[in-house]
Amino acid sequence: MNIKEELRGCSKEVEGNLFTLGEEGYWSNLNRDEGKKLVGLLQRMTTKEAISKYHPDLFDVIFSAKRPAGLEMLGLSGDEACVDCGCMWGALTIPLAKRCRHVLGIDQTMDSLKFLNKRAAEEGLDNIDLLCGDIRKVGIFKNRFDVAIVNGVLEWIPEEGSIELKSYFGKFSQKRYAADPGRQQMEFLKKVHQNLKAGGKLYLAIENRFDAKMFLGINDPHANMPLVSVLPRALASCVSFMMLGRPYVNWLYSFNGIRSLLKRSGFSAVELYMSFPDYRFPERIIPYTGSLKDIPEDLIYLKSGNANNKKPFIKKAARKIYNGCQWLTYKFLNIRRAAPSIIAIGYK
Amino acid sequence: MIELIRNCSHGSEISTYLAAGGAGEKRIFKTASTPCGIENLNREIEGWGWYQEAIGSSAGHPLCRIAAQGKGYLKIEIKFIEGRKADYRCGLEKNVDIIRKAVSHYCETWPRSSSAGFPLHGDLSIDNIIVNAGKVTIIDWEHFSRDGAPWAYDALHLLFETLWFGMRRRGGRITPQEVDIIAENIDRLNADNRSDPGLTKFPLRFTRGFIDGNAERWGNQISVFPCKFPVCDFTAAEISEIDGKVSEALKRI
Repeated sequence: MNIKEELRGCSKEVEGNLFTLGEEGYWSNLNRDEGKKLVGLLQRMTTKEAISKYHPDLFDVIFSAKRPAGLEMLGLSGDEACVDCGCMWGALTIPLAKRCRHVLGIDQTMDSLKFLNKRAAEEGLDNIDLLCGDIRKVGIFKNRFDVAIVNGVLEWIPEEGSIELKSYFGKFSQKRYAADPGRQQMEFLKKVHQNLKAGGKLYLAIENRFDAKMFLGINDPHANMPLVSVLPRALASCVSFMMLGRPYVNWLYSFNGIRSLLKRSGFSAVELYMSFPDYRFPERIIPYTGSLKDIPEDLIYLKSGNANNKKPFIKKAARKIYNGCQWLTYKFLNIRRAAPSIIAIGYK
Repeated sequence: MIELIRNCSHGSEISTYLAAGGAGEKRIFKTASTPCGIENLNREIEGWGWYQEAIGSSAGHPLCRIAAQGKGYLKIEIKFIEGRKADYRCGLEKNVDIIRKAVSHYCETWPRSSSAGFPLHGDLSIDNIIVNAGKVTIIDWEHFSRDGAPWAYDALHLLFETLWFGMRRRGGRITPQEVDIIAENIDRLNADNRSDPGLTKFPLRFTRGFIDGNAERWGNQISVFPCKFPVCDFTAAEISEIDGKVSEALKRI
C-alpha cells in the first residue's frame, strides 16, 4: 500500500494532496485571522508575492535558500520516503521534496498546509502529501519512512493549547501544557522512531540548552525569559511561575542530553553537529568533534549597528563584554558544548 | 563526516560543504535547490571543464562532476585542492607575489585571441586563488561564461578588488607602491599591445564599466548583495585619481 492509499484509509481527503485527521489545532507566527486572509490571497497571487507584500518579515523564514543546508547531513540518496513533523509553511518540506522520492508533511494548522500545498504546486512538485493532525498522536505509519524531520519542534511538544506566536509571550496567559515535558518529548520521539524503517534516520534540530549567550542573560527564545534554559528544571519552573504564572515547559537539551534522550527513545546511534549562528539559518555546521577556533567572528558577535548611531556608553561596554565572552568561549577555549544550536542525526 | 563551510554567502543560493573520508581524503560538495543556485552550479561545472582543459590538468577524472540531481536540486562534487589562501584584506603590497603569479597564470591560461570575447571567471579575487608550492589554482567558477568578456577583465578585477581592501584599511589612500604594482601587471597583460585601449588609459573605469554594463551575468546577486563587488564601491573621484596615476606609471615603464 502506498502512502496515499494509507492516508485515504486513516484520514479524510480535503483536496488533492491534503488530508485531515479531524483534529485541527493552531501553531503559527500569524494570528488566526491573518492566516485565513493569507490563504484567501493565494487565489490571486503566488505564495512569494503574498508573503512579500503582506508579511515581508517572514519571507526569509519561509523561502530562504539557507534553511535546508542541514539536510545534507542526512546523506540522502534520492530514493527516500520522508516525513516532516511540524512542517508549517514548508521551509524544509519543499527542499526535501527536491532531494528525495516522497515527503509527507504533518502539521496541526490547516491554513499553513493550504499555503504549503499551493507552494508545492507552484514549484511543480507532485511528490508531497500533507496531513493535518496532532504530531504527538501520529504513530500510525509504522516502519514507513526512511527519514523523519523534527526541525524546531521538540521544544514545543509540551504545549497543548493553540499558539498564535505574536500573542504567545505574556504574563499569566491561560495556556495548556503537559505536566511532564520531558516525558511528553520522549513519547513523541518514540512515535517518530516507530514510524521509521529499520536503518531510517531522524533529523532533529533544536537550540542548545547551554548556548553561551544564554549564560550572558539573553532571553530563552521560547519562554522569553533569561536563564531558564541553563537553570535546573525545578528552579527554572520557579522563575517561570513568578514571571509567567506557569512552569517552564519548553525544555531544551544539551548535546549530551539530546544524545541520551534519543537513545532512550530507541535510536541506536546518534551523530551530533554544532550549528552557527543557529539551526534555522545556518552559516556553519560542524561535527561535534570538530574545532571552533576558525568560526567567523560575525557569527558569534553582536553587531554594532549603524556607526553613526550614538549609543550610550553602557550599551557599548555591554556589547564589548558580550563579544569578549563569546570569543573566549568559542575561539580561545573551544567549548563545544556551548555552541548555539544542535543538529542531531539519529539512526534506528 | 560532512561540514557546512559556506551557506548562500554574498547573495548566492549555494551551500558549500567539506566532506572528509576515513582515509583522510577530502572532497568539496556544493548544493542548490533554487533556479538561480542551480544555474550557478551548472556554470561551475562548465567553468571547471574549461579550466581543466586550459591548464592541461593530468587528472584522470574531471575536477568537477554532478554528484546528485533531482527535480529542482543539484549537487556537484569538486576535487579538493590542497594549498593555502592569502588574506585578501591585506591589500596589494602584502599580496604582491600571489598577484604576480595569478596574472602570469591568467596570461598563460586564457586564450590570447578570440572573436567572440574571452572566457569570464566572473569573481576572480585573492579568496578564489589557492597556492601550493608556488602553483596557482583558480577556484569557484559559479559565474563562468565561455565568452563575452574583454581581455584581462578578470585579472583587472583581481588587482582592483585587492587594492580596494588595502585602501579601505588605510582610510582611502592609494600608495605609490600600489600604483606601481598595478601598472606593472597591466603592462604584462598588455604585452602585445593588442588590448582594448581602456586597459591602459582608464583601467578601473574599464573594469567597472564591464560590471555595470553586464550585471545580468551575475543573476540577481548584485541587487541582493550590493557589496558583492567592492570594485563598485570606488567613488568617481577615486576612480579618476587611480586611473590617472596608473596611466602615468604605465607611460614610465
